[in-house]
Amino acid sequence: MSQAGKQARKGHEVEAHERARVEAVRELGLLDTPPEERFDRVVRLARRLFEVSTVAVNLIDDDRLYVKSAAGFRAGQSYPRDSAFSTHSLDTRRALVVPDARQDPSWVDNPAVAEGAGVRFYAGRPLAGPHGEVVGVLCLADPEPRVLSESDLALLDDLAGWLETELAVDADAVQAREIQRRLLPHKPPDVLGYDIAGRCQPAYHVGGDYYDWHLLDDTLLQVTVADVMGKGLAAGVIAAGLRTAMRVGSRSHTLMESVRRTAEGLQDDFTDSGTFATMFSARLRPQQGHLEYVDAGHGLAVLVSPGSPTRRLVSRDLPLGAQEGSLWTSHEARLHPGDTMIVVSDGLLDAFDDPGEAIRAAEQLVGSGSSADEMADRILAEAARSPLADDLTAVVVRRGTP
Amino acid sequence: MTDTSTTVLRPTGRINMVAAPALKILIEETVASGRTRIVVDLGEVSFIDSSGLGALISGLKTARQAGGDLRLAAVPEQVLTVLRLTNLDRVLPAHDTVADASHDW
Repeated sequence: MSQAGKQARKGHEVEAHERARVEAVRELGLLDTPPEERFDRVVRLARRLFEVSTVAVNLIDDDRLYVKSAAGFRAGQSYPRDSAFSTHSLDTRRALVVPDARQDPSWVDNPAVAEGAGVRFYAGRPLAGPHGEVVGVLCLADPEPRVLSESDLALLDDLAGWLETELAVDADAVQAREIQRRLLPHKPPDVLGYDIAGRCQPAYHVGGDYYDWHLLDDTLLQVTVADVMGKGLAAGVIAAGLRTAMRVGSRSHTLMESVRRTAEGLQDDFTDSGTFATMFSARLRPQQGHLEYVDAGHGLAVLVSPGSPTRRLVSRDLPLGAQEGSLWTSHEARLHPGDTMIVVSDGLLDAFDDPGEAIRAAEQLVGSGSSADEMADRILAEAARSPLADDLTAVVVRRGTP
Repeated sequence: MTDTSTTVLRPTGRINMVAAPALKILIEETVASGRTRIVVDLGEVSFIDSSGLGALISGLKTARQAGGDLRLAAVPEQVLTVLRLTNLDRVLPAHDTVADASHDW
């Protein structure tokens, strides 16, 4: 290949690389978004530790810098990329330190150095996105010259690592949380004689919990709680698929058959992602209090009746996606006036030493005569005493007394 | 008698969202290398979460697809509780020892 041909190819590679990089920056979903405390606290800390006038986290779009977070400087603005120190860090992919820009021929004519108070010291540490591309720069600047020691550079790396973790969280957990939020019903169904509430509290690493309810016809309410094993977007996407498949299937099939079709339809997704889902789904004829349920390895539904032993609504059926060709069975129960059904997710188990203790807590809760909303709130509050390792979901269906 | 072609894997500590992917890959690599009869010895495992269960179920499917199987031995109480709660003890029965798990493939 000719010299010119090689150069053209190299130019093409650089272009493709830059396109992937810009895509990664935009995927973060942080451009033109307001300052956030999770970045601001790192920036404030850096300013104190290095005792410089200005610290900023800049995201580098195709033709501009966006100041996502800053101390001693205004955040939320964009600057042309070609005039900036930060661009150099991006080109080299390693920290750029300019001890005194006025003495540095490469920088002495830069507007930031020549104008106003003038920047003399500058340090820029590139920030990698979740997939390794440089998406931004952590910058330190000061009007006084400065030399950074080895330990200063190590400290700068540590702070950059912290910021990179926050950037990665954004790419997955924030989106996963958003998916999960969209899966949840906005308000309880309006069912005469019943008080119904649901809650879902995502963990820091969002799992695949959701709950759903919908009226199949005027006299049949379906309530579902499911927990996709795993974390983040992968679990969230499968939860979205589950919810849709259950909703669609339930319109024209029995409960057992809806669960089977849902599992069959998602089998490839379960296999590819190495996951499975537990699910409790019930159909309630409100007027009669007749309850039909399928428990797919969920194991965390109880029926509390004043004056009778509490009944766990369980079966021996497998979770969805655990084994191809599985079938599920329906079981029956009755919700008498004054009875309450509580379904939670396994995040709640962390709050209790054993399932027996959890059942006693449920009985006390029902005995307190609270509304479904209050009960659901108290279940979540109980578990929130320790940091949530997993999502926590609770659905309460209480039949009123006439 | 213990089958000589049994491969025993011994994860330790907590099998959570951090450790589960490595266990899943280890099982896949073991099966890919032709060793499809796998016993996972959980004797040194202190805790398993849903991601860990996912790795075991995924490993079970991988082993069975290759004509083998995956079995559990020395299962600690916390893991047993989770397996029973999810009914996964039906497909992943708990054996007392590695030797017990290594019969009748």
